[in-house]
Amino acid sequence: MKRNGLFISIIIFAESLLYAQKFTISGYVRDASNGESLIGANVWLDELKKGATSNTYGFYSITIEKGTYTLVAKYLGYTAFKKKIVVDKNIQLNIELTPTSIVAKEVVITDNKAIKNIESTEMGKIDIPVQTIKQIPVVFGEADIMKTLQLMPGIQTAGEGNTDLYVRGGGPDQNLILLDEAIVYNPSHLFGFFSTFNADAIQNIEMFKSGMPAYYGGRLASVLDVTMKEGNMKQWQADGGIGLIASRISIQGPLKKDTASFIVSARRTYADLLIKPFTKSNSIARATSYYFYDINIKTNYRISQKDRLFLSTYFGQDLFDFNFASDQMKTKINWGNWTTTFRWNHLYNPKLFSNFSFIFSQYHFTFDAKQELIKLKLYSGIQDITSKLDYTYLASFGHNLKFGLFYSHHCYTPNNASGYTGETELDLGKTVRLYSHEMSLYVNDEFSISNRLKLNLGIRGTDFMHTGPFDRYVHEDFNLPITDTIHYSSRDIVKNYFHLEPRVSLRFSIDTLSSIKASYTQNYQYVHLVSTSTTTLPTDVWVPSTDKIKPQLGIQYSLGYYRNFFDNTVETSIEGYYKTMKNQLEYAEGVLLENTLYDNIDNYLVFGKGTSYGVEFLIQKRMGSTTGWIGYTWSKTTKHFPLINNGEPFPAKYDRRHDISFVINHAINESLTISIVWVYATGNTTTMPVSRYIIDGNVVSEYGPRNGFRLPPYHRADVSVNWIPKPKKKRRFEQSWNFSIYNLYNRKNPYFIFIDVDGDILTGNAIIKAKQVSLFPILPSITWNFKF
Amino acid sequence: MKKMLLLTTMIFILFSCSKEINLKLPTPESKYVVEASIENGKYPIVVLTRNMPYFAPVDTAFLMDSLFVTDAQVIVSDGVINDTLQLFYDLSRIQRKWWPFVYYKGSKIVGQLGRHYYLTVKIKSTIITAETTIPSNVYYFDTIWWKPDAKAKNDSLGYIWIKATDNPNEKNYYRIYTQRLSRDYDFVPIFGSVYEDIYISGKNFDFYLTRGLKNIEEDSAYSDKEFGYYRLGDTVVIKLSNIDKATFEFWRTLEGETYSAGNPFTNPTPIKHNVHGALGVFGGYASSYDTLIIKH
Repeated sequence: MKRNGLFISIIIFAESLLYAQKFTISGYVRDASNGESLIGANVWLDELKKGATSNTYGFYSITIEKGTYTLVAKYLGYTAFKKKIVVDKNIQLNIELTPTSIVAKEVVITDNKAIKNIESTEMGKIDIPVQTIKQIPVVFGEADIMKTLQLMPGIQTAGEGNTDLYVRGGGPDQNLILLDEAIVYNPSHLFGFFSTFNADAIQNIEMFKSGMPAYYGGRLASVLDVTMKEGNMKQWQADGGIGLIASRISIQGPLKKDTASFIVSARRTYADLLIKPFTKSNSIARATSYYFYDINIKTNYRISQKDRLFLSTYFGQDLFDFNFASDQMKTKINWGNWTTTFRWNHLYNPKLFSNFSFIFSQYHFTFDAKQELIKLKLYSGIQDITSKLDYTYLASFGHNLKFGLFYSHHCYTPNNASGYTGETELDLGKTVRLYSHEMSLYVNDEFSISNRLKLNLGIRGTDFMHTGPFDRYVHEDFNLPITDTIHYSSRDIVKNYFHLEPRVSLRFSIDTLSSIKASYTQNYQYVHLVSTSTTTLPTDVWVPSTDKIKPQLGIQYSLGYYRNFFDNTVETSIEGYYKTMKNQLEYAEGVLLENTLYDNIDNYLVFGKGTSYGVEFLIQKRMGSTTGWIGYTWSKTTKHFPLINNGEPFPAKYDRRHDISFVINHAINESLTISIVWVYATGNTTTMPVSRYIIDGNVVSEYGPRNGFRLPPYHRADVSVNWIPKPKKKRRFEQSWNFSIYNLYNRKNPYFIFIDVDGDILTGNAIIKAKQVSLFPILPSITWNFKF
Repeated sequence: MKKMLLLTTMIFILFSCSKEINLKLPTPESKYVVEASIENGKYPIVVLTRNMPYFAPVDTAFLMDSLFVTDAQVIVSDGVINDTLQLFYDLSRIQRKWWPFVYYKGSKIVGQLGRHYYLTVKIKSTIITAETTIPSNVYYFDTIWWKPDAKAKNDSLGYIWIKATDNPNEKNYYRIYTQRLSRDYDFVPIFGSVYEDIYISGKNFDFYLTRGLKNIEEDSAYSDKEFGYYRLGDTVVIKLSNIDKATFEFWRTLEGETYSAGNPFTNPTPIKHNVHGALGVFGGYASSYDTLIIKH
């Protein structure tokens, strides 16, 4: 820290000598009604047509020559701020923006122009305001960040109800999902039907499909950076909703007005109500109980204009109980995430902003089963302790320079099992824990080469170390006996990897309404999800890179053309990408999962590569009484593993040729808005049987090529109406009703296909049928929301 | 782990709508299927059948004409003598619809413990080979008893329990079958019939047997009150076979596949056939038998 401080001081001093005539305007951009920091607000000087955007903490800084300027600050959904300022010394100016209502008026159309998509170098970046997310209906009338992101081109789902993101052909483990900088390993509740993000507690969402700046690292496909609300600095506020499936409540307020605040949000589903709509009067339904809950707590304290502290925590769990009466089998499954982040913002001077974070992140999955005398317990988990130091240096020579360091200690327990049959303890292997250290240094700069060309260049260097204590079981093949065991102590380094990740993106402005962007992104990933199934389940296991599992490498090239129409109210874009992924892994064919308990799990894996390419089209309107977008993606994702499918390339399970999303939000009048969503996607791939034969009087299937078959296409429409009754007098208590219908035309989308053989083949009475299972038929839902 | 995935599948199937659909699958490659066995004290038996396209109609005429191969030359050798197996139409099995109906049976070689056997099948121009071993040791359960199961709500239904000790000096693989006299024509493997000693090597343990079904696709059998149970008054013969690794791997992967057939949450398990030139198995079994008369 000391050395860094000295180094920085030298630069600042040198700079102040060279640019003696320049001064800095800096400060924080906040919401006037509650004091929340506004992230990504545009602050610029009208006369120069140049400016800056506020960072994650709302901080902005502009260094310019002495003079008189009109400062303008804008943010979507807020009234613009204009002020004439005389710049003859450094100015500290905190800006408060007033929110306008969502139902837009004329004023809003002309003021808030969509120039960001044309101006910024950040290509492959998706910005969806939280208000938009709250308007779009999803399953059971609950607003959901992940489900809304899946409506964007390039981001797909695995199918019905699943909240996992498959971004440009990447797997669900290839997304860096951050909640206040803490990694969320499993962002799904209920096997993926709901995400762990409670929209009421979220302030901002930023997502990168490509061109991730160098301050993000560790995943190949995308970055989803979610920032929690800070808490109303001005007055107490409560929000909540009661729905058919879940209820939520959020309480926030100042601990000391304009100095410290807090927010607490909680959400819970009701087990029985969730299951009962689908119940056939059958003992299985009665035997099941499921519920999830999550809690978000955050507090912050503004020590001064220069220092601010934050403490945020998230805790969520899914609890699933199943008692299968006739088998007398009791199962208890429980999984969840817990994250805590401590942050300290420190402003060295108007140009140098820093943040120090200390983060704790944990994910666990436990499975407890009991049947007669047999008891089995499975546990898998991850614990990360991370510290980060990030600097933003808003230099006078037009550079937005970011640099910093990152250190994380990981402890993975991929699969730990214990069991008993009667009194006899079963030998299910020792508890295996995998330890690793990950350290990164990065530098990223955004600057203009000319009036038209802007460049974003970054490089990230990471050192990843797999350390002991660790036992390596050596054998030629997992089917052959173990020939040797190598013991590593806690002081030994089992394997070390060092990699550099260059990141380049550029924007070339053709004119004020259009631009071309290109990017080259190189990413390494040191954590891997080993999936036993064709869809993601909490039983999937996370493992770090080891001496056997090499880090994954992703290289992505993308090129896009962006054009705005109708005075910047309609944005359009065409983006193409090509991506290669190396060191992808899968379980080897024919692995007996139980054997992995006595061995290193990575002895059961095979490695290969993946390729994905595609084109994405988007037309989006963000302003006016009618807003929304139409997105279309054409893509192809293939995998190639020498030891799977006889070494022949095969489609990835989430390879989706066509993906169409259509979203419209229309404000009918001041009280009523309607939202319509229609999606269409090519069917999922699956492996189908090609022939059958008989062994011991039973039918056996012989399967065709891996993922060689496609299910019928998926499409559905949802509609949602939001009614805000407006009382004659403006009261503190506000309420709204949301009526939504999921799957409006009751399309039976296939969740999977299975073969049903009924009868006796041997008497010539067998009936063999292919059946498809669908999950959600037409589902109406009502939610009552309140705020005071 | 697999059981949990199977459970999840079942939950979804019951909770949601399922409807029949039409699938167009490509015509598969024709293959032969060998189901061969040799046991201590018995002649070798080889069942030869053909595979069929997935949705091909199933009727008796088809079964008798196309399913069984009847023009093959089948030879089993112990390294010293060759036994050319003879085609046999087993009328008592046909009558009882008990698989297999048509098979090749030996008359010269009787299975011996610790011996290695070779199989050669010639069908027109196709040659199929396989080999197996009957392990040297025969094992017995320490104790066998029956007790009614509380969940059956009928104290005449319950599981058969066994107490066994595994040999820690040897890597063992087992297959377990039961036959209810005068109710089952022949032995029926229990549900999850193959085990390796990896969990219980060298230990003494209690375990219960879940009665298997002769035809696992018969949906009505699952809702039968007696499903999985043995009934009071039955006389049950329990067969414990010691098998080699290849035989174990075949039955393990086969049962894994047929029990979870259609499970959308897993990729299909490739079956480990130990026959060259065809699908199927040639298994060697070192079997012991024990009888239990179920009474209070």
